[in-house]
Amino acid sequence: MDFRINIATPNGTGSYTANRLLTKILLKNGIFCSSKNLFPSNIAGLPTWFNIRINKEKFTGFKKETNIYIGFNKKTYLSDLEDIGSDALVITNKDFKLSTSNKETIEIPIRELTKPLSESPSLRKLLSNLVYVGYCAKVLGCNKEKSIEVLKKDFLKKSEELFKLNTDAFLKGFDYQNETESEATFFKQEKAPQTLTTDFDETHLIDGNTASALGFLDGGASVVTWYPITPSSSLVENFEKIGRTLKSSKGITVLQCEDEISSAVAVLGAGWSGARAFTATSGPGLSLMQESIGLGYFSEVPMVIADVQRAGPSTGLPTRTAQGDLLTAHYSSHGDTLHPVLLPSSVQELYDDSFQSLNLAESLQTPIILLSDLDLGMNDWSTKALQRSNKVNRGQVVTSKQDDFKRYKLNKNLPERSLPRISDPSLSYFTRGSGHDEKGRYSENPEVYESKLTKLKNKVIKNKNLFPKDILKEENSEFSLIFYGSTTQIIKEVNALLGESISTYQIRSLPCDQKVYDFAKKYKFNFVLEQNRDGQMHKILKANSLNENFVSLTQFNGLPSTAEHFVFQIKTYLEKDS
Amino acid sequence: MSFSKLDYKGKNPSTLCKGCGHDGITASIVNAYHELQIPPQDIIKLSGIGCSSKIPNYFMDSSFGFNSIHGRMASLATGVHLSQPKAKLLGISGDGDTASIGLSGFLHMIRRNVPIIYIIADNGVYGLTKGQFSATSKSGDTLKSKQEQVFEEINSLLLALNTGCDFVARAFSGDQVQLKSIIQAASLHSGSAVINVISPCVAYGNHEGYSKNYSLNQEIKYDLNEIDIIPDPKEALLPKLNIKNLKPDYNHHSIESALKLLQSEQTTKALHTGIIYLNKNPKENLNQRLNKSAENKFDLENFGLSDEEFSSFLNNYKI
Repeated sequence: MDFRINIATPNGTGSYTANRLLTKILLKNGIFCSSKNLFPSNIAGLPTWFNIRINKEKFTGFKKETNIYIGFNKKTYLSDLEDIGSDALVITNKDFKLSTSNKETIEIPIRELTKPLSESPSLRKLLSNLVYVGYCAKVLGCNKEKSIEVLKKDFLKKSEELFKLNTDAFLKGFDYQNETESEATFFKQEKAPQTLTTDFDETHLIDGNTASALGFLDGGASVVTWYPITPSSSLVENFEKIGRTLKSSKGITVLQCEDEISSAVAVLGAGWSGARAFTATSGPGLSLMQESIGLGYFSEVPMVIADVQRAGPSTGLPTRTAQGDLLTAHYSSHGDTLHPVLLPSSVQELYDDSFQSLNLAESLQTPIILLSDLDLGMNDWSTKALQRSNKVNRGQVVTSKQDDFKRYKLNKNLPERSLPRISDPSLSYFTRGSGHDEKGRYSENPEVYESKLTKLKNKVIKNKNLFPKDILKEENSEFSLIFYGSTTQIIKEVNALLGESISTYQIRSLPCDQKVYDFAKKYKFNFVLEQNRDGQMHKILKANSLNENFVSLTQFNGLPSTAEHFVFQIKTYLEKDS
Repeated sequence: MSFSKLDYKGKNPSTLCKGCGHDGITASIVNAYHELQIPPQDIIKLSGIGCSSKIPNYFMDSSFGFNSIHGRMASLATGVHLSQPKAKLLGISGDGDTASIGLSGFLHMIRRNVPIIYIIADNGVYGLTKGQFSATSKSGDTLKSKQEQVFEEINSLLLALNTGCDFVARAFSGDQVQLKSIIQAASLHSGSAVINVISPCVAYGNHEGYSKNYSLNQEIKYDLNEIDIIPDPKEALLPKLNIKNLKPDYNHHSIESALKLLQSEQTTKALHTGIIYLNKNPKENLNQRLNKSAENKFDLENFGLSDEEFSSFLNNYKI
């Protein structure tokens, strides 16, 4: 069974908290679901749509068709309904006094139900969200006591009063359904979610930015410099918030800088002098950081940049998702560069990669870009308890006296560095972004320059064994699917919709591994699925391919990708080919 | 253990033009630190890009140094300070580096009070790109090509004062003794110490009609004070700073005096040198404001969260 609940509200009215609560209530009641919040770049008043997908197969991708529409934004109510099939159950506020031609519309008398709860109109407005949550929970077959447990966990830690008010509002909605008749038909149908109740291991609900923050904390990041930007801000805010509450991380320093240039350079300063440091940003910030990334690359200073991608170019769609920064990340800065890019696809991978990015930055002594996106970073994901399996690796640090120390040895597989005030003064060197020899001395010598650039490339390519491993599944299929990042979330569904077992290859990092080419050789077509206009991963794959047949498939409308969209593209391509 | 002058002098010969004011700055730095016997390995040398930013390459080879990118030395210093709050930072920047491309970083460093001696080697021109105006040149200045500066000057010291800098000084590279003592005074300061050094460019900014030329500044230089550093005989305490006022009615502890003085220079045409402003009650530095201990954060072993912390964190996200 497959269900999309689409909740339309104006933003800034407390609905986000309420909608998250509904997701948790469903999960608590054994109904597997995932959520995606489509919100505007605005503080208050503009329309927002919160989507919960209930799916027995645990498909978590975005779904095009709405099955239950909760219309609590008067301004979008009628236009929303134009796009929503007439089979959908519509739940709305009776006070709107708007009629529709939908088969089944339930009008909740919000004013009447919330009036006894509070004298304050603004509080009643907040509580009206809990009324539809309660109603929806009942409609979806949730158990009252189990649902209240969720409310207890969220509100009781804040105050007894808040818990009581919200529970009362929730119950107004939950109990209201019993007094009406109209609920019947929709849920008498076979698709009633009660039948979905299953056992599953996904016992936690966590957003990607928080999982990433946890990975950085656990990996020992101690200095974070940043500049606020959607959708990455909550990564740093959560890092600081969680860090303050935990004893082992009380030494962390978080500094909000004047711009992304400054935050990137400060990360270099902190990393150069021994701290594990990172910054988090999104596309516009990554653009500003380019020169600093080049400096880190050429002078071999550890640096981690977490880019939570949004739709570009320019300001683009600040609150919509994309995978459009891949090429910018991989080849950041002028001149020849090649930066390791980590491509997590789930909260577990985000946690792991955040931790590992610190290890990689210090082992390779180079900037590492951790690329997630708004879909992954800002949405809540149902997940198993996060597993810890990472160990800290600080790379090669030399501290004791040496004669003739060479900071930039050419013949070392992994670089060695010394640290100011920690290493013996005999290991001091002068760091520079200009041409330099093995000792860091200024040099314009052609051979010295050429061998330095060659070394920097090899350093990344020859140490691919340190990167997260690609994940592949080989089947007896004619074609394959290649993908990365959040697009991975829809692959199971694409496979199911195509009705056969397809070979799949999830790229976990850049530069590409030779394995992807060995894999691709076996198939007539290798569809490369991604969320940008130009097929950026496809371009990278093509650049190094001999005769593998890579076919680019893209979705770039700012919304999380849907399986339906890619399945349609694959079918169209295969039909043309036959 | 004592350090010889050679420990402070660099082995790399200066590649700046013969007679460049910046070499005078190098000499003053060497003497300042040698006299105070500050161990070179305690110093971290930082710079941006430009002729000025080459200076750290010419002294104290056993200090670590980072010659970064144009205009970003202040941000680099901020990062180093966050990582190593106890490090003594010595930053050398230029007028282009500070007053143009790096102006925002410079002011934000000051407002956060990053502890650093920030020397601006100020010659009013871009030397490495062959003699364009910088933003510290004065309206009416002319280049060798007779091109005239038609825009107003950016006064980095006025900006520093207005942004809350507790230590503001000016020097002239022709007076190495005064610059030396200013650097020594700055080394006793716990926050951002900004020293603007008029340091004539012999190649592009030393002609008549150029307000930062050597002879004019030598002539209009007016010493505000005499600075004495008296070491503690038992070497247990920081040296004592003694500032003797030379200008009648001037109070280098008064921000009003300092602002008035710098603003008056447009009419007096004097170049006031020495300590222009020193806050008697210096403000907390960046690390102190974030309520951090001054401990070094570098630790090879103790990283990450305990098992209990990890599971208690996860528990918050359990359904």
